Amino acid sequence: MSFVPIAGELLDLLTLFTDPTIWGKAMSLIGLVASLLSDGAEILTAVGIVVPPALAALPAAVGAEAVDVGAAILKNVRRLVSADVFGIIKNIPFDEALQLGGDVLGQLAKRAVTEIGGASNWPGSIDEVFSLIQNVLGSVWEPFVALVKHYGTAGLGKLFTLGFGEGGFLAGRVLRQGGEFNDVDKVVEGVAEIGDDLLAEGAADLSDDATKFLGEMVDDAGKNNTRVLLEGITCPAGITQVTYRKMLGLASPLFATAADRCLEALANITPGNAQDGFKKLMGTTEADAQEALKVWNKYQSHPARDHLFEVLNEISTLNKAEFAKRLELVGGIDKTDTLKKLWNLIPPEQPHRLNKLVDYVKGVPNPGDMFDFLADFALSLERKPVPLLSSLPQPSNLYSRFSYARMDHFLEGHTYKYLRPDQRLNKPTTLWPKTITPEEINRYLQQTLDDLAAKGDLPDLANPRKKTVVFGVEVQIGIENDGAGGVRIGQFFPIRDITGKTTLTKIEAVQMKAIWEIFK
Amino acid sequence: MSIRVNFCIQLRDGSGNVVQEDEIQNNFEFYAPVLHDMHVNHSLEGCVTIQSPSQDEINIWDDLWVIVQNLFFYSIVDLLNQDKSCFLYSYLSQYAHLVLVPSSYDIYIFGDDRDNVPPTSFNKTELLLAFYHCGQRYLDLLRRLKNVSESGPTFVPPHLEIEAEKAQKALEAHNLL
Repeated sequence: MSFVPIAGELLDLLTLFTDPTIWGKAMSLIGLVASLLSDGAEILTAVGIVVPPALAALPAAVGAEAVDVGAAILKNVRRLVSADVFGIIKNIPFDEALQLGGDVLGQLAKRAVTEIGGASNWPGSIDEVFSLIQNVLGSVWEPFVALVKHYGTAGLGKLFTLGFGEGGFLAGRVLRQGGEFNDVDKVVEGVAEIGDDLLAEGAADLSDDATKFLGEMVDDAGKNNTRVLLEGITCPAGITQVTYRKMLGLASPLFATAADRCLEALANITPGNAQDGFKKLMGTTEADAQEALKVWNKYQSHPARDHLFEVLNEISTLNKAEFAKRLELVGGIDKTDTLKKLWNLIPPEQPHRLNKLVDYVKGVPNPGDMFDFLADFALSLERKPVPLLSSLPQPSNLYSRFSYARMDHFLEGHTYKYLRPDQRLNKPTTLWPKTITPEEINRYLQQTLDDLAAKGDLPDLANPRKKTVVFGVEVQIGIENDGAGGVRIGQFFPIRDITGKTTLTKIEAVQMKAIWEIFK
Repeated sequence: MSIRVNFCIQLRDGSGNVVQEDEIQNNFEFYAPVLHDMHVNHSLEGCVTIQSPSQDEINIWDDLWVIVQNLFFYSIVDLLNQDKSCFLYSYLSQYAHLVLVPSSYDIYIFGDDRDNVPPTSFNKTELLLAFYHCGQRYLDLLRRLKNVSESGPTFVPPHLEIEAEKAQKALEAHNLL
């Protein structure tokens, strides 16, 4: 039983044969069938159209009226579009015009129901229905036209493949806003896929701002990364069909309760330069997105937040989450630059080489201070090859007791410039001041020999170790057999500063092992 | 004997690795040139490990010749012959000490390097005998290294041989050898 006056049926029948456009003929056929059936889904099925979900969800009578009235309006396509768009639409074959038209009608019906607050408020007269459909026509038709213009006559085949379901509709909305994209084809494809797969029922509810941001995200971060982010966000009212709460622990505003609120919230927390960084940060894994969002929210008002994300941008995609996790363990955002410098010391694919350092630091009372101390130590090491012994200074007076001093060993064991951590992994190490030279160490050594000789206390093989204080520094000296029948000075290092004038560094074995993981 | 004392040598190949004495023994030809060079130019540093089924493991990292002479041979003489109340070992390559305190049957060990030396006690005679044998194995290694090249006529320093003999006599005097 048709809801449209008999005049409408006659008109549809007439235009089915006389309308100059195939599109008009298709709409006339739908209108004619709508005059005979009272279920929107049945109408479309009768003309061979796959029923769009937007329509299938509506009450049968509401769908029928919406389709009937909508088809009557869309039939006059020439009045709805500019000449150039009409030139494209008139090339749409009959079957495709039926399917696309059906999709558009489905979106129209859905929009109309949303407009009046639900199917229960559906108008009682056909004139009111006509007025309602006219009101929402622009919100559906304009995205459709945007898609048509995007593909043009040459690309109509792609439009037919895409269709105008939730995905196509969303892609059309993105296009209608006229944003400048690096790769508009990629955006259309990505947004459409996301619309079909993830947003489904919620697509029509996205605000214009949220829709625009979605397009920018797909353009900047790629379809897959955007999907990861969207799947990770918990929006109970429906940005996704995901039912699990992956993002537990995230603070507002990411707990928005509607799809558009979620995307708008994302848009709002990514201002300026940080926006790009944030998008790139999403990476290719869910873990990346989660860690990024945690960090992002934790430091919402921190002045260094943008800088943190600039740094993260410099880190390979797969390791962003690794960096963020470690940053939290060593003291947080204030350690960004220092951690990045250490990060630069390790191969990109081996972030685990920082684990020993992080594990050690997080277990001490003041992790941030300890991290600064060990990072300064590690970053100060020059690790230059130790010069040949023959090129290094020697004490001028060895008291006819020692063949020589193993100055190379003193340098590789106790100076920033030449330290070999691999030789100091199992014992505490004291280092001379950062700027000390071999000549200065030799001066300390000569003074040590002089002082011990004056006291008659030079070491011998029976008592190979002595300690004393020279120039305000307590030092230890040790001797050994030189392998050629003599005795040499094999050990010489600082123990502690007595006067407070000399800056020595003491590194425990466990700390050295942590540093060695970075360098080895 | 339930107490095992073994040494290992810190390599200088940039790996940070050590090589156990058993490994050296089994692949001597491979390690000999490396160890020979280390002994001549750098000294042999490494670790002595004391293990017992019922006790925590002790690791003493230092120049090996000092461990052998002082911790092994000196302590045997001091704690057996001279009946000293304790023996103090001073590390050569770090500022730290190790203390051996004897009781009637045991020796209690503790020291500054607490990560590597948890306070532990061992049977006195077993420990001192294990010290002696480990020291002798180290000297055997030096003797074998001496044959690697013409250099190094004093590869086994005479003072070490002398102290080894003193330790041997002390053990024999107490019917431990």
